Amino acid sequence: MRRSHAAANWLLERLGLDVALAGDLLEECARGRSTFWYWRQMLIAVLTGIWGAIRDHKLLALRAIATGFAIEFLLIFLWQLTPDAPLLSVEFWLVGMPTTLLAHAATGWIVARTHRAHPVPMVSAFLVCLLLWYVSRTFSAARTILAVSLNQPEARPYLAAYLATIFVTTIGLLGGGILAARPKEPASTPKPELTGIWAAIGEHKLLALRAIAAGFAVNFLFILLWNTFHLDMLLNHAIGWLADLLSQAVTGWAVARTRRAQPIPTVLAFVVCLLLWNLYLDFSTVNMLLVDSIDQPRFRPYLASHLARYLVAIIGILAGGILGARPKGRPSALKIDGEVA
Amino acid sequence: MPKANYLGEFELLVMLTVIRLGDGAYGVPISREIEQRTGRDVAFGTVYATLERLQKKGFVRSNLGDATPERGGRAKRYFRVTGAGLRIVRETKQSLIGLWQGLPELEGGMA
Repeated sequence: MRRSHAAANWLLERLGLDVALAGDLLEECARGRSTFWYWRQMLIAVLTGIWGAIRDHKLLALRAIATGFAIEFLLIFLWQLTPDAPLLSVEFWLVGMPTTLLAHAATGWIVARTHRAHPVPMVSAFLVCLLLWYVSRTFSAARTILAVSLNQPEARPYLAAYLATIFVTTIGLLGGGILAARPKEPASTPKPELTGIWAAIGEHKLLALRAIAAGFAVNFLFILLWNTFHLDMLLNHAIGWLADLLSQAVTGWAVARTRRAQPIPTVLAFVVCLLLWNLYLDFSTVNMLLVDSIDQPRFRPYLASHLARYLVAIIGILAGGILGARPKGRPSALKIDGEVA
Repeated sequence: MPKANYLGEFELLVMLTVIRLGDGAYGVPISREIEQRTGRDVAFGTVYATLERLQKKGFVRSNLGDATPERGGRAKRYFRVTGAGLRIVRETKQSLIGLWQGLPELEGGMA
């Protein structure tokens, strides 16, 4: 019960609702109200809060919907570039669904972060519009699947897949939105370092974008060098691993040195983007190795070797970034009253 | 014609309850009082949304009280009606009385 109350309080804070309301509900529970009553009150409070914020900020809601659809269409465009996973295949459930979840969590996160005054209500407004759009586009197919599923049990997995897509989209968007929403009353406890890094990226978005561009430019330069001098053949030797580590360290160092105001956060932003890009390019290989490794142990070393290359890239870039970053409180030459000490 | 700030039905209920409770008006007693006097099932979320709206209109003001362990360390938010709030309640009462008068169907008891 206490854990569920803590979760509810966390949700209320993220939604920007009055924290006194959470106290009132707890007070009533202490006087003997049931858990059902508590969650019913909580649901009404959340829905009332979301609806009130949308009603009071219609233009902001329209902007959030436009932002969400822009990201959604970009995702659809990227999705069409990847090979199609057959419906109800293992890939559909193991790869397609988690990808849908992550993609929509990212969308929810972006919509929430770009509408910080009312993040969750704005994500909810977009969610409703997205679901209406999706259902209207697929209405006739969904109706057919539903009708057929009533008589033919073999059609039911298709109905399950359709409903699972809607469910995963909803969970992803709301999850991303809630995670991105910050409590309106700042906590008195000190923020952990990770929050500081995310806050720095959030506050310096353009700097992070420039760092990502610079990192990719250096990375492509190394790829060009490797291809020109046919160094690919070294990839399976220790020297290849070392060269890979060094090239990534140089990339991380270059990103950190050219973004001295926020070296570590911008290097981290680049690492995340590089990993996503490589995963996108490498998707079919990783997927194949992962599926094969589940029942055939002889494939596991190949999978480990493949994943180790990602680890080397992360270590290299981070090490380079840390080496390239200078402590903020230690200038290269200390000036005292106009004199160089 | 200037735009008037009318009170909705539930807003009026909340305002009257806050006036009735005086210094002890916070979420729990406000909800209970409305439930007892009207027989309605009242959601705390609706009461808070209404109070927030009334506060934006300047009809009530609020301040935080002490936190207690039974409330999970959360403070109570006490509400008080402002001068503008009292004025709008009186105006709403006059409007309702004006509408009430001269309706023979509504005279003569509870029927």
